[in-house]
Amino acid sequence: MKYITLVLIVLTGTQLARAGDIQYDIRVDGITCPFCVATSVKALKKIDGVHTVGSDLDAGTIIVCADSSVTFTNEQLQQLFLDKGFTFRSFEQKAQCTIDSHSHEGAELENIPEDHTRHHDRTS
Amino acid sequence: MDFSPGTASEVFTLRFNRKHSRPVSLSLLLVSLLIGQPVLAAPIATNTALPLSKHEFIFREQFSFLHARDDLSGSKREITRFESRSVLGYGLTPKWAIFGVLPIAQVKREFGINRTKQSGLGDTSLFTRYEIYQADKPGRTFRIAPYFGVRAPTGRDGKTGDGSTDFFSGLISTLATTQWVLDSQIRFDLNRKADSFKRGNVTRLESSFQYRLSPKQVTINVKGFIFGVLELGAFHYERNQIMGLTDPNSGGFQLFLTPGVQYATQRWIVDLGVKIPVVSRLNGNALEPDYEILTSLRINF
Repeated sequence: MKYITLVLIVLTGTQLARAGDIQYDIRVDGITCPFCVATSVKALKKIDGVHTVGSDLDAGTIIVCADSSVTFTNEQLQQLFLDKGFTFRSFEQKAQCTIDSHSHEGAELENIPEDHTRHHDRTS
Repeated sequence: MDFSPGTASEVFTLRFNRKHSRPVSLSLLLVSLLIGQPVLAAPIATNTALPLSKHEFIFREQFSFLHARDDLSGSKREITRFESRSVLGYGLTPKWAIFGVLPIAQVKREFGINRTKQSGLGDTSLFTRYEIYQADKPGRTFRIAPYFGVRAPTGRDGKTGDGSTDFFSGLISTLATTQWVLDSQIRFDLNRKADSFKRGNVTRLESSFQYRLSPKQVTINVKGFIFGVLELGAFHYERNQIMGLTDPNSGGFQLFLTPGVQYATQRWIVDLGVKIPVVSRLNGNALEPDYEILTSLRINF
C-alpha cells in the first residue's frame, strides 16, 4: 500500500510539473523524415528543463515542451539548426503545453488549440 | 555513398582469368559492375545529398548477396558473392562530411571443373562530400552535393583487393518532401593500373525514388515511415587493359532496376532491395548477373 501511494505521489508530482510547461513551436524548414530530424530532437532534449520534443514534419514544426527556466532565442535556435543542416525560421511560445495529451491520443498537430502569447521571427 | 566493395571479387576474377580462360574474364566486368553499392543514403543502391549534422556520426552496415550463372559452350559458369560493408560517416560541418568504408567479401567461383573460394578484407574507401546548394521549405528540401573519394588497396592483392589505388567522384542531388524523395547522381570511377591490369573506368547515372506508403498522414506521434523504393541505374564500362592490350571481352552497358522497401525511424533505417539487370549490352561473352539482394541497417548516434 505504501508503495502504491508513493507511486501515485510521484506520478502526481510529475503531472503537476508538466502541467506548468511552456510550449514552443519551432518552425524549421528542410526536415522531411523522422531520421532527418533525429539529431535536432536529440540536441533539444539535452537542454535542461526540456521535457518533451515532437515534430510535425508536414508543417515543418518542432514542438518543445519545457519548464519556465528554459528561454529560447532566435540566435540560439538558428545556430542549433544550422549545425544540424536545416533552416530555422521562427518560433512561437504558448502558455500551455498540449503535445503530451495529444500525442497519447494519437491526435494530429492541427488539433492543438491555438494559444499564442508570443511570436519570434528570425527575420523580424 | 557508393563504393566498390566488390573490388575483391573483381580482382579475384581478374586473376582467375589470367590463369584460366578468356571467357571468364568477361565476368570480371559484370561482377565489378554490381559491386558498387551505396553506404549512406536513404536510397538502397545509390546516394543522397541529405545532410549529416555537425559532429554527428552515422553508421551503416550493408549486406549483399550476388548470384550469376550460365553455361558457356557446355561449361557451367557460376559466381556467388556475399559481402558486408561497414560504413562510418562524420559531419565535420553542417555541409561537409567524411566517410570511410570497410568491405569484407566472400566470393565463390566455378568455371567448369575449376572452383575457388576467396574471402577477407577488401579495399577500403575514403571519401568526402560537400553540400554546395541548399533550398529548404516546410517539409521539403533540395540539395546538391559533389563528392570525391579514393579506394586504397588494403585488401590482399588478387584475392580480396584490387591492388590499385583508384579514384571516384560524383554529383548528387536530392529533392525530398515528407511524402517522397528523389535522389539522383552521376559518378565517374577512375581506375588505375595495378601490375599489368587496368580495369576500365566506369560512368554511372543513377536515380532513386522513395514513396511513403505508411502512415498515410503524418502526425506528431509517428514513430516511423515505410517507404516503397524504386531505383534505376545506368552503367557504362570502358574496356579493361591487360598487359597494355585492350580486352575485347570487357566493357559495355548495363541498366539495373532495384525495387525495395524501407522503414525509417528517428534512430535507425532498415531497407531491403533486389537489384536486377534489365538491359545488358556487354562486350564479348561476359557472365551476366541474375540478381543481387541488398539489405542494410543505418544508425545515427
